[in-house]
Amino acid sequence: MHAHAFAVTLLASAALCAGDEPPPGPPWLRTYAAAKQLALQKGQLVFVYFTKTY
Amino acid sequence: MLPNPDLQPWYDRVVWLFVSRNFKSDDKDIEALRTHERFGISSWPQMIVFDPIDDRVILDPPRDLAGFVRAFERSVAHTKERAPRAGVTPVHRALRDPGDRDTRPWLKRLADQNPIARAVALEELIGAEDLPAATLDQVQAILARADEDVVVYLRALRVCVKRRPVAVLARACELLAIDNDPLRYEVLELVRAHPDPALAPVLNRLFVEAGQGVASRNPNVLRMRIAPCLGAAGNAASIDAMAPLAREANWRNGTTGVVLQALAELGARLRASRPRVEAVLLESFPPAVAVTDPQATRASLALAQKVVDALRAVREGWQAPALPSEWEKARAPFVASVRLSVR
Repeated sequence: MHAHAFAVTLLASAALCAGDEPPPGPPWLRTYAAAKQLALQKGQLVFVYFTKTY
Repeated sequence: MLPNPDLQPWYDRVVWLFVSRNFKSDDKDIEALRTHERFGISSWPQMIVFDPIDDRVILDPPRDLAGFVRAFERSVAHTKERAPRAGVTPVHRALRDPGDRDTRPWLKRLADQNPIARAVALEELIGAEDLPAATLDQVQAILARADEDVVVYLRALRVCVKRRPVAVLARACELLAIDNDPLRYEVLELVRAHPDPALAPVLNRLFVEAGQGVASRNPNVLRMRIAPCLGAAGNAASIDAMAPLAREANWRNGTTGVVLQALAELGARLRASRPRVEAVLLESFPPAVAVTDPQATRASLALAQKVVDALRAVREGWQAPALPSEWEKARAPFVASVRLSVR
């Protein structure tokens, strides 16, 4: 059951978020350097979402 | 999950970075590749949270919303444990995206304080012809720097693999100890082309401990890259290292076939270890599958054929029994006939 739910979440995540455009909502940055500079300036961590064009 | 509005309170509490590979080798893809290689990512989708001070990965968030939010809370607590902007260095301040085409001499570009500028220079050097010895010396010197940016280091390694492979092979042991899979893949490819039995203990450990004692985000892929090296340069202990994966006989795992091939090479090369290799191979036939499952039947028969091919490589002149056309009722008698034929 858990495995099934996890697989559904994964599939939904891939379907919603795969490709060149980031998922709507968060204020995404597109380069490591830009994200790191902003995070250093704000004293925050960086969340990274890795995907590919399917 | 990521578009979920419940994540809105987190929009300004962490920095959000989207990294997508399109495999077109355009500027966007090359930038994405650098970030993938920095964090050793080679499967998708993946999520991490890292500390910008040292690029340390703080966590791999779970993929359900509640767990994701809890993980974010924990990671933000981590930032409170250190002073704001603690550890920000001139190197951090020099970091920026590459600008227009850099036309400065190689030596200046390789000495740039911005690691991205050095990485771009090295990416161009990989494809360049007729490099001056002084430039190659400078690239090779990067491999001696323990504190070099890993993306720069990996690109310097690629130049040296192509231009100075002997220098890389001389450091293979210490390079394989670096916890970065893309970097290890480069070294393993070179080691495969230049087998060195002295590396067998290191390779055995990497294979057995990948994803556990040896940090790896892709332990199965790492094993797939190590196995051919073990086939070419492994020792008797390599048989035991690979035996559990061979015995799993999992046709869904692409590494299974690579391991069988490596065991065949080991058996052909190490005459005294042939009985041990044969014993492992005889235990590596896939389990029976219902005849009503044609995909599993085809895949199991293909894997059984690989086991037979490996046995044939170890036993010169051996006549293998004919493979059956199904793998439910015919498996047991077939395996029994193989066992009988190798006595």
